[in-house]
Amino acid sequence: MKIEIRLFATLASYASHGDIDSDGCLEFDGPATIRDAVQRIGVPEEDIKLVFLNGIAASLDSAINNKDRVGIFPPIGGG
Amino acid sequence: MSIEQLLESRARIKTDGQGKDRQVIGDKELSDVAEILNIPLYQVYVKSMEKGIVPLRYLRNMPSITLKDQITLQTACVAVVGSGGLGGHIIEGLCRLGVGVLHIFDPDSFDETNLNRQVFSAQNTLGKPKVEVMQECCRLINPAVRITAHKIAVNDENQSDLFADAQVIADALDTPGDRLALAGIADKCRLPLVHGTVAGFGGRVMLIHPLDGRMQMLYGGQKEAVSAEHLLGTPVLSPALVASFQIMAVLNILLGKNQSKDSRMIYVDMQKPSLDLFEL
Repeated sequence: MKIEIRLFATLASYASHGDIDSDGCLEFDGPATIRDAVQRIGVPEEDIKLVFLNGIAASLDSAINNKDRVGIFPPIGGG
Repeated sequence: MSIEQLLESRARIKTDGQGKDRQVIGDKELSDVAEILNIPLYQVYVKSMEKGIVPLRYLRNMPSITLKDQITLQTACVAVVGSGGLGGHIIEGLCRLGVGVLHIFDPDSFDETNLNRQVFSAQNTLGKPKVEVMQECCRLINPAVRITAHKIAVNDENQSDLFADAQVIADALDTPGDRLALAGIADKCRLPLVHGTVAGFGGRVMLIHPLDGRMQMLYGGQKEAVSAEHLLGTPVLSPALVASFQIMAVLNILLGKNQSKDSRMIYVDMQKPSLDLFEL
């Protein structure tokens, strides 16, 4: 399966990971969770504050399916 | 002469942007009427607009903001907590829009690191309390807006009395703990809270309803975390943009627009560029 992974703010630098293709997608052979996706590209869990699956709040334990869109945010607090 | 007659005698006809003739009146004439009758200026603005005479300062708001909307704004009250990057833009915007009463809060004075992004920070305001500078600058921009300046930190739910007459609160703070305290105040006062935050060339806006607990989802357990803005900085672009979205959310609430029911999180990345909506 193939999922789209969007990495925001400070996490955008992880989008250059070699496993992410030019469309921002990541491929998996079998079942996987959002945690598997972020581990694969090396995002430390402690740097993650919000996780979204297809635009809706989710958790790192959420299972992902083909064509899902995953959004990952760090803590943001500037004002 | 009655206030109506005084206003009528000073009004003139001007063709607006849509080619429609409108009765208009200037600040000077409105101030004269306030002085003659010895009544507060904002009351003269309201009377003028109720009579269909458009203050010139609001003419270019129309028809996106109607005269009826403008009267609603002139009689509205908004609290803006934080008068830094976001707060300065929000306060200036609400002042130009003619929101009648603004309560503004910030314990700090301007310093040189504010010059990159904060409205009204300038060489001649360095060292001066932000809220006092804002109050003075806004008085010159729109004297029909009454601003109460509070040179204090808002970080305690016991401060809820200060928000008693507000209809909505804008969150322009910059620390997780203070934002959680402010959400507690908004819960206590049953007020909508328009959250905004920035980092780098991006930022987030979200309407938080009383007791919905979503500020906790954004900041709970993160008090000591290194946040994105420390790593990316906060150039002027993102506070100006996010503040504009916050002002829009405040307007939608004050004017009772359907859009004010939409409390999805908006995230904008100007560099990419992208705008995404998320349900939290």
